[in-house]
Amino acid sequence: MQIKIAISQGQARLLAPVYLKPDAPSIYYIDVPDEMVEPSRDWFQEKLENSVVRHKDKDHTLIPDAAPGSLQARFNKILGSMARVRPGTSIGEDHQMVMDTLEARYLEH
Amino acid sequence: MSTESIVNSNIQLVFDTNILVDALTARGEYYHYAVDLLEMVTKGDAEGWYAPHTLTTVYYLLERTLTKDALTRKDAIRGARDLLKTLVEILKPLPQVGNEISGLDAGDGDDLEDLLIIKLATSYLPNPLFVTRGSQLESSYGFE
Repeated sequence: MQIKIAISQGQARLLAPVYLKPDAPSIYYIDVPDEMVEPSRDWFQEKLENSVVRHKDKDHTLIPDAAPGSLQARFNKILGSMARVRPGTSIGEDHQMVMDTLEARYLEH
Repeated sequence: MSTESIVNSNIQLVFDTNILVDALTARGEYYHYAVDLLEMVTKGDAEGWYAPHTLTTVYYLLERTLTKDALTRKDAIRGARDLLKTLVEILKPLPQVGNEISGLDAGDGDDLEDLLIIKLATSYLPNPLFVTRGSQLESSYGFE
């Protein structure tokens, strides 16, 4: 059968659910013409970096700077030892993280 | 619907999912801009809104992000839960009945979550400004 998918923001998504038989392989390959493919990179991150003056690279183990009584101080207090400056992620990575979480929560037995 | 009673500021910020996670977990180089906008809301310099259907996504992203640095999963869950509680104290929910998706004109590959945020915000707020980084929202109502 033919399956319709949409490719958006670096991810492929089924446009209609497809349920496989238990013994069917779960990975399939699709052909996308090379001339339609952009180099693999995070366009959104790149766009953002080009539109804003780039800050000096920060040590990602640092706790976020916070003035006393500020909202950032409140976040740092809530997080305790988990408060730190973290590296950025792309929209696609976030999407994949949510998909993985939902799969683990609702589809795995 | 009249918005006179619900809008108190000329600046009505509508926060996208990823921006909220950036702000709450100090993620990426520009998280402090997102925190600054939330701070504006806490000081009453702007109104801050979120779409209720995005909250579970925010929670999942918070929990997963914190799990990488937490001593135990319980710590990550507590952190995510407390951040979310703080967030909903700061921001106001856009009214959502639940059937709004039926009126959406979505094309192949459109992000329904984003389309729904746009619909809720533009239906309820007179002049919403979407705080986002790269999504359907940016292409439709960019605010960078």
